[in-house]
Amino acid sequence: MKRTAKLISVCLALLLVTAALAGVLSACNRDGKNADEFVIGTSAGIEHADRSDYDFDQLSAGLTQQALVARNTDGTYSPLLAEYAVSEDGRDYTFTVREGMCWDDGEPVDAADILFTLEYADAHDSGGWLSSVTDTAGETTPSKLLSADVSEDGGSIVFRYREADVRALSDLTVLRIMPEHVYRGKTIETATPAENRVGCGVYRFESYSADAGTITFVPNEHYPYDGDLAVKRVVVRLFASDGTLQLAMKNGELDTIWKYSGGVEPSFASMLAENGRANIIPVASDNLPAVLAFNTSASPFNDADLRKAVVYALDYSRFASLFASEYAETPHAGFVPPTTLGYTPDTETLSRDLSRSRTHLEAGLARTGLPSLSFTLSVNADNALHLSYARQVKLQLEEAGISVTIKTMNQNDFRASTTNSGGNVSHQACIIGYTANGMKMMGGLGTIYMDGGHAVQGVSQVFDAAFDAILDRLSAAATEEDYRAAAKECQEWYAANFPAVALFWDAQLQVLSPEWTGAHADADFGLINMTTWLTLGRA
Amino acid sequence: MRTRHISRPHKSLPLAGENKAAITALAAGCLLLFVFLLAAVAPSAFAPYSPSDTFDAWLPSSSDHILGTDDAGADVFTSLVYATGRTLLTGVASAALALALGVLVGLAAGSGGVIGALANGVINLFAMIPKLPATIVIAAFAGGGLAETVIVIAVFGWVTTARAVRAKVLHIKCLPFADALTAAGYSPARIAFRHIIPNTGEVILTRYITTLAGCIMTEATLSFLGLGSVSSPTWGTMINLAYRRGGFAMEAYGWLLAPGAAIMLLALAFWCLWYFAEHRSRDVSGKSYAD
Amino acid sequence: MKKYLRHILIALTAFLAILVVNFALPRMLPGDPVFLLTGFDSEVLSQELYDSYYTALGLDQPLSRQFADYLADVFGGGLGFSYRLNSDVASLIGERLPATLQIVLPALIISTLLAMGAGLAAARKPRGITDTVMTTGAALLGAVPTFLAGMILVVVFSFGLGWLPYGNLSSPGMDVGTIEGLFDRIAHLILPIATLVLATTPPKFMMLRASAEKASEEKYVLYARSRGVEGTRLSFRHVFPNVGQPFLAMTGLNFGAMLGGSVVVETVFSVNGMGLLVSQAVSDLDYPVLQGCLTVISAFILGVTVLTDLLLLLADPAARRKNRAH
Repeated sequence: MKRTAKLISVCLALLLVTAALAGVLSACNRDGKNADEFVIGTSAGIEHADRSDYDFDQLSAGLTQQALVARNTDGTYSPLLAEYAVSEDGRDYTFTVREGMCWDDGEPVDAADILFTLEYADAHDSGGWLSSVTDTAGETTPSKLLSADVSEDGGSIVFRYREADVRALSDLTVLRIMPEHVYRGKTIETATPAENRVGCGVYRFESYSADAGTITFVPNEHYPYDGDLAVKRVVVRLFASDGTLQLAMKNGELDTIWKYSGGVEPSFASMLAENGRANIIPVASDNLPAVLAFNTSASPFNDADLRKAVVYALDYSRFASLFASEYAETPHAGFVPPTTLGYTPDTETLSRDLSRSRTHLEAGLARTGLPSLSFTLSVNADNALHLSYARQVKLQLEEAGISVTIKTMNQNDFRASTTNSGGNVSHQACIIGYTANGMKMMGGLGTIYMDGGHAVQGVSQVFDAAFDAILDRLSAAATEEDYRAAAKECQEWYAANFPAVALFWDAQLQVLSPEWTGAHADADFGLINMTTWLTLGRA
Repeated sequence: MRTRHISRPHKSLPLAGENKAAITALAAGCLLLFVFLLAAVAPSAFAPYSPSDTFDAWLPSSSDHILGTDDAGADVFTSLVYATGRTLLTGVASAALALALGVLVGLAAGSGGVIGALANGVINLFAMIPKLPATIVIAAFAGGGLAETVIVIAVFGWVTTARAVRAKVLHIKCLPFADALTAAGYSPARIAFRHIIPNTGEVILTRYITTLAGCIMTEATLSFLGLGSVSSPTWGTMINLAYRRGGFAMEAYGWLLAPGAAIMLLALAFWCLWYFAEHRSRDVSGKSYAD
Repeated sequence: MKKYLRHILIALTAFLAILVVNFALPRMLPGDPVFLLTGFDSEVLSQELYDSYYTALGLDQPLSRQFADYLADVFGGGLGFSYRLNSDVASLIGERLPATLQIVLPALIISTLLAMGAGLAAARKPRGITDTVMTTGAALLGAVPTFLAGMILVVVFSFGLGWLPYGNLSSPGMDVGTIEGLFDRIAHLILPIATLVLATTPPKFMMLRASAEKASEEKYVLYARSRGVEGTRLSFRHVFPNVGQPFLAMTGLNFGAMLGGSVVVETVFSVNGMGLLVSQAVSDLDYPVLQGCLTVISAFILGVTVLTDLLLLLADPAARRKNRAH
């Protein structure tokens, strides 16, 4: 009797276990994709999926939020939330909100929202639109705008700039307009998540699940578009590590990879293309992913010959073949990439020339009295790619008799020792990447990274009267011709002095599953942008 | 039925077979360790290329490159050989530091009196602190140089050693010779350093072996989180770099797995030595291999 | 009785020591405490903001006052404030703790059972074939870095064979409340739990094996053997009760190692738990979050220690008898 009971209970237990197992197995891998779903994978650390979250805010720029204008990859601008017109003296910009633009809660977008956004940025962000900013070092930067006046009908706004600025629109591509009716009397920090998700883009926020690691978006019915969107739901999958993100893309589970202001690594992109998992879309970009910057105010690189000894000892084609895509170009001595406003192709194309390097090395050593050239190369340890660049630099320079010690630091220490923000620039040379946004700040052409007097950056620690004069001319330029002339001088100064050198120029690579076609590339936001959603279709 | 059990000796004296196993373990351990040491001292004898030779990036394994090449075109096997020295150094240094701390605190804890109680309290306190989370937090604050890494690993790695040493000291103090020395008027310090430490040698040795393996593992974990020193790579940082540079998607399994296999072999070598040492002294206060 | 009380007292002191270290670290280390406590650097902090943080963090107060405020914050449940994530650390951890516990608790139970079974089996005939194979295996397994083990499992079972999901805790749109959702959750948990079990079982196995080997030489086991008790029954009825106590205590402490391991596991499997919070805080240098997590983990250890001690106290025949006598 007892035996039978035991047997029955064992059988029952087995049955239960089998049933559970079957259930679990059936639950495994049911992740079939819907035909009208578009899946974006990202390893950005999104925490709460609303406007208060830096990474989500960047992502939403391509889905739920809009800036006034967007920048195309050829350097031109397209209206986004507003049409714009420029006055003849180049100081007045009139923005008129496009017909039918609505917040996804149904309220119309008006010019008061634009003014509110400027005021909000001044009060809570780095700002500097209508009020001047004083930084830690006590330096004051005057406001960009003298005034911003909303028209009587509330449909347009006139920005009056302090001086004519040929690059005025570029700042506006990243200023996402905020709904005044939501944030009046509130801040992003005090608003509820639902309020922080109100937008005016093609899509609106639908759901966020921390457990599933997904954020979903559905079409915004208030968006003024008559056609039919090919994508009925956008699913953003969050990954904690690039390793699994890449494997998922390679496995065909994602339609694209999103990374703010960055593309996919060339070696990985070409592997995807070879396996038929993705088409590569190169996006010309103003950023410099790989820069070797010298500290020109400290030994040994306060000597121009020693800088040149390094510059001519580097093998640029080797860097391009190892780390860059097929769209890469050999960098010029003028430093800035060809897409930059004011670029001149006239500076020397860099290449390895060991005898030239030796001549400069001997001249430099003789002048400084140093027995040999050896220096410390600082690298941010968080950036594995930069570490690989540094190892390559070390190898190549050692072939030219220059010895390099790689010094890795955490992000904070790296920033403190390479930029003026720490108050004490102590590096000798460093591997660093310059963002498109940073490259165009102040006078543009990456000058903030060179200028030793810059409050925050100043990586190369240039204190030079000729360079300062060029800076003045850049910021005083009222017309495009003036600006181009000054920009040419600036690049020639770089080519003569080498405060920093680009290891290669490269386009950012975006990848798109071959199941889709018709994506539009935006210079700031890559493939995820408003135009893409309107033009995207099944291949 | 019962008589059979009664007649069987419960604790067999070390059998011939067991001795053989222990000696095999010793031989295997020494051989492995010898190879690793040789690789650390003279990497050029093992490596097919010089560390400055570069080839195409992401090559799969072939007869030219048995483990393939990495993202910068370096031969992975060559890098692996050249990283041996640094890996051993980090492990040896932090384990040595941990050992020194452990022996000192363990001796103090075994000495009795106020100091003994205090030291014992410190041991129990540290045993209670979550080792890995605390190491991660302190490493994040301390930054990632070699010296910092070694110190941070050692700070939480000494506790089990101290416990083992304390147990051994207490055991020795019960032996007649300790009483005799005290009666003969030797100072406690002299007794500790001339008579007790030499007698704890075996415990210290076995503890050192296990601590070393533990330290190398901790270093690998810190590296994974980006907290190790990356400038001259250890096996741990090699895996970390391979992982962060997309080694899995690029199918660079040689780059990813070989350093892991090397760590495993090193651990195996230490384990063989420990097996032998433990066999020699079955009464080493019952300390297990792992921490 | 006294032994357990002392144990609990030590655990409490260890917890307090962690609190003191947490308080002291940002104030003692070179570097500006404002940057260390907010995780910001001067690039993003204007002078005004810097000053406001300086006051908000109480750095203008005397040290004793700062410590009192700090303790009040810890015990008041705030655990500090993450300026990077713009939230108090307690709620950040609170949101993520359930996800972490879903991985850590099953892993703890499974690895404990595995270690127990394997340890007792190996100790039955020390240096026999089973023992040698098991201990060598454990020594090797103990040497696989956790992240490597996790990635290999993902590559093989998710991307290679396609059997199990590669990350997160649920499929999109799944509700754990339903049967289907529950199975879906279990499918997602298998690989993270397996990784953690692989990482934490070897040391426990080694410990149990060593003490079981010692215990099987004790008189009572010999006596049981002489009565003809053999095999599993001998292991569980006679050997285990006598090594169970240190083993349980170790399992309690092992909880800390589990939480440490979850840092790696959650990063590999994209699980939005406390471990991922730690690993992101490490790369963002968000010190308040790191400190808060350490405090919570220590508090867990304290709780588990007290709990195991109470259990042991209840199970300890000697202590029980004494209590009854009074």
